[in-house]
Amino acid sequence: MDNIIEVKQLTYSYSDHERPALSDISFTVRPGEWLAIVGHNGSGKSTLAKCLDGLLPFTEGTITVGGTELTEDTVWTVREQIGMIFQNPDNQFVGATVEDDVAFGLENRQVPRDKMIPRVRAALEEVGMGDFAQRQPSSLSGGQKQRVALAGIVAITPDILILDEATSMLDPQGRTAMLKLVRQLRENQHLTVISITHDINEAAGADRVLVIDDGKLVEEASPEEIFSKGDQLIALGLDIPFIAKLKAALKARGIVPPTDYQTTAEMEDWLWRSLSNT
Amino acid sequence: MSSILFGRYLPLNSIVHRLDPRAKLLLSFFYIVLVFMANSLWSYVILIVMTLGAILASKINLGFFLKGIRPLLWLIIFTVVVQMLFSPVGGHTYFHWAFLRVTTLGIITSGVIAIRFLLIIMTSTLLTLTTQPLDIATGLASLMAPLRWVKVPVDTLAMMLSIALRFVPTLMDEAVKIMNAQRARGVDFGEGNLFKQAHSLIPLMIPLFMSAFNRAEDLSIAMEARGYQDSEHRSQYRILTWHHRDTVTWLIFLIGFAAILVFRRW
Repeated sequence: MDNIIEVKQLTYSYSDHERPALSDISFTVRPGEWLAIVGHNGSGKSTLAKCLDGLLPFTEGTITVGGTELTEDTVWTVREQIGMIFQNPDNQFVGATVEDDVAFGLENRQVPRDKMIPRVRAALEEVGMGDFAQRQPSSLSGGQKQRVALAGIVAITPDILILDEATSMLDPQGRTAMLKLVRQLRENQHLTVISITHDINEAAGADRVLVIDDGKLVEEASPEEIFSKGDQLIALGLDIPFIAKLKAALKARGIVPPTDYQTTAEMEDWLWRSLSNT
Repeated sequence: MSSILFGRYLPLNSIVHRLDPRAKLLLSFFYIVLVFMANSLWSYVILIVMTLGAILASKINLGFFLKGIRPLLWLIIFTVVVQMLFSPVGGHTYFHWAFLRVTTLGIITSGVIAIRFLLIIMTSTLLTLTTQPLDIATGLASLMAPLRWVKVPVDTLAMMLSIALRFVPTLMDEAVKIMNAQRARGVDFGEGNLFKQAHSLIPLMIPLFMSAFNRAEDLSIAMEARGYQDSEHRSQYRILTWHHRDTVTWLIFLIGFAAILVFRRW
């Protein structure tokens, strides 16, 4: 299989808006890839995520997932392959307890009960929530609820995981823990991850970044290339990563750092070397 | 509010807690029917013995139990007094003024009412104290299953009931948050006359409704994304199992119920 997802000339308009929320978007996703889609609030990234899962009926363009073209008849086949996690941890928690919520997706697939029990347990262990099986959502933190949502995805073993701003309502600790878990799951289950975010540090960990601005795809490159365009990112209403900020501050004080993107470790290395040379 | 026990769940590990919720729901239902059918002294003695036996078996402290029904005492006293004063003529008349009179018959019927009241409150409180709301919902859904034959959408109702129960604490938290936020902006809740009080509820009710709509929207999208098509084509993770202890409890109560019918004055 060449591409797990192919999007061609996708256009979507909400009925009550003049301007299309998405216009003429085309891109492909390779199996096993981590793709980040960034853009400021209202740029159309969540609309795109919902289109990919067939949750919004688009009128123009085509979406092909795992070789199946997304139409009204194939929507449930496509959804089988995609697991989605949304922004608000409370509003996507369907079950009355943690284990009921993890089982929800399995119930919908009519998995018999004796097969569900070990799968629910294994999924909860995988995300480190094994001791919380009987707990009710109101007694969990936001980060824990998102981990339960992730366990619900693990239980149905999809090929693709879409994170629709899944970490934006979490505290920094919950966010780091969640991303670490997703990375680990991706290794274990060979998942393709599409993460929709405006958290630039989350995008920095991706293989490839798509930048969306006002419903249009304006940039497609590796995180290194994207983040080397510091000022352009700010013009698009995006934040820049901490290292890019540090470089700008150094430049303002007459120190010239390398222009290409660097991780924290690389920057640390560069600083040590340049200080020990002088 | 916090002193009312009815509707709360008390986690203990007793035989009553471990009973199948369907067994308990059905027992409570027939029990209430029997309370109204009982009319002789002996039938009430049997009912009281059965109730006290159930409470003892639940390991819940009787004192705690009685304290919990104290907020309902005024309602009981009010009903009893009204029943006593407005009862029809019968037996000896102890007191008579205008249309109010206290008679032997009045005292007996008001006594019966008080006992019925207490017994029903105690059993329904016992039911909710010993059964988790979720189990009550699952039990009700399972008991409604025969209604499928008359085209009642039982699975959909069960799904709605379970989602409603799951969101009760979430919405309660949110209501408190909105109230505090509005208080911080100068809204006085529960102050002034009836009209003013009702008016001050608007800044609580409207945001609460709006947020419930948004939640419903998010939840329905999340459910669809997770493969939910309709209630009928699903398997069940949570199931109830009927144990021997449920059958035994039912047998004991059936004997009790039969005895009540025997001692009843037909």
